[in-house]
Amino acid sequence: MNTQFKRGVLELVVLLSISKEDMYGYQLVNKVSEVIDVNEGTIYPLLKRLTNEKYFDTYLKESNEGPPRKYYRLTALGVTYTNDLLKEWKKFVGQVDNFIKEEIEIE
Amino acid sequence: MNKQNFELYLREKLAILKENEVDEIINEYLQHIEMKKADGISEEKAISDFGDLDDLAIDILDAYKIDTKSDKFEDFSATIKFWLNKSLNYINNLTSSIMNRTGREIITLIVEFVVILIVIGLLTSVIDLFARNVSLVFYFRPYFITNIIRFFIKILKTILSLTVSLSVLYWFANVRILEAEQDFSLQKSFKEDQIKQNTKDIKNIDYIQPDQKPLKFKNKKDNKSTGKSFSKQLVAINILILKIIGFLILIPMIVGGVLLGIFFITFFYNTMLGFGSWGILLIVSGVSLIYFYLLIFGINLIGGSSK
Repeated sequence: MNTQFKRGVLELVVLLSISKEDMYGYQLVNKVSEVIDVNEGTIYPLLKRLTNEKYFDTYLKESNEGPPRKYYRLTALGVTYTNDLLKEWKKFVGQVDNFIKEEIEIE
Repeated sequence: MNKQNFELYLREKLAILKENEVDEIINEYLQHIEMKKADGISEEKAISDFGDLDDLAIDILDAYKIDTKSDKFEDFSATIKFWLNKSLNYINNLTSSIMNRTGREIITLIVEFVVILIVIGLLTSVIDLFARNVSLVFYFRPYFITNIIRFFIKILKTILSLTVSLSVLYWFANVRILEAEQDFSLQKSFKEDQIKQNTKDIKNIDYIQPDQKPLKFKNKKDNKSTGKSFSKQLVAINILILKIIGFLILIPMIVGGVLLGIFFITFFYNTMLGFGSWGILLIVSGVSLIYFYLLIFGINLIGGSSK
């Protein structure tokens, strides 16, 4: 799949995954990898950026194996942002779809 | 690549960030590698799954853009830029609205400006006189206390004069130059509306009676309007050139005037008794401004009279 496509959707997929339940980094990487075949390295910087932009906040939680894990949680700002992004995405996809249909009809 | 090398490489690449932040990032990656290993994937494979480490570092630094932006120094320079932009815009508005006036309007403006400068000079000299008398009251032993009090009175006087002068100038610029300009533009837009309305009417007639006559009429009008717009373009270019020249002259003039004023204040402070030093500064810069307007005015007058 085209890497540019992936980059654009990645943010939305990450936001939607976390809106269901709080997750730690590795868990999220696995979840996202199910949908998009993405370079694992790119997800952590994205999480960092979304945290810096106050869409996420983080907390530490003890685990049975290994050191405590850093969990990501969606903030109120993050919820509105996710909804906006989802709307935008749907609109965008609809427009592109329509365009493709028209182009094919002409051919 | 093993874990140690991975950590060293990434640390070096992220050296710009704060140390605790780098630690946090590295820890998260190391945890990720550990979990991969627990799932039966080799360390090498886990690290190579991160892809190109240089790209990774760029992505991470990109995510921190916001953090570096909120740096104190960046904030400071951003505010300076903001205010510089704002004041430049203000000056731009002021000069462009002056440039839009006819010759006669500019003469009245100059006269008003001189009056305003005289008013400011009077106001500041009154403040000066008052401060002088007040500081004369404080004259007792030990003298160093007197001196300190007088020094503070001097500072207060300067601040007061500056505030008064600047607010009067600001008021003048806003009320006389910018608001008058708004009236002017209002009239202009009204006229444009009327013209639009007229053309609309003509079009309607055209639509109702698709004869030869109105069509001819329309063609004539079109020719005329294109000729007009061409001359308008010429005028616009002239005005643009005037504005550029104006800016090139205006800024050094004002700066020179202010510098000359400061020179007067520092070297003749004691001899300029009874006359506000800030008043002198404003008058000197005012004279340079008038000089500038006269320079432009000679050209503008011809344009005004040909109307």
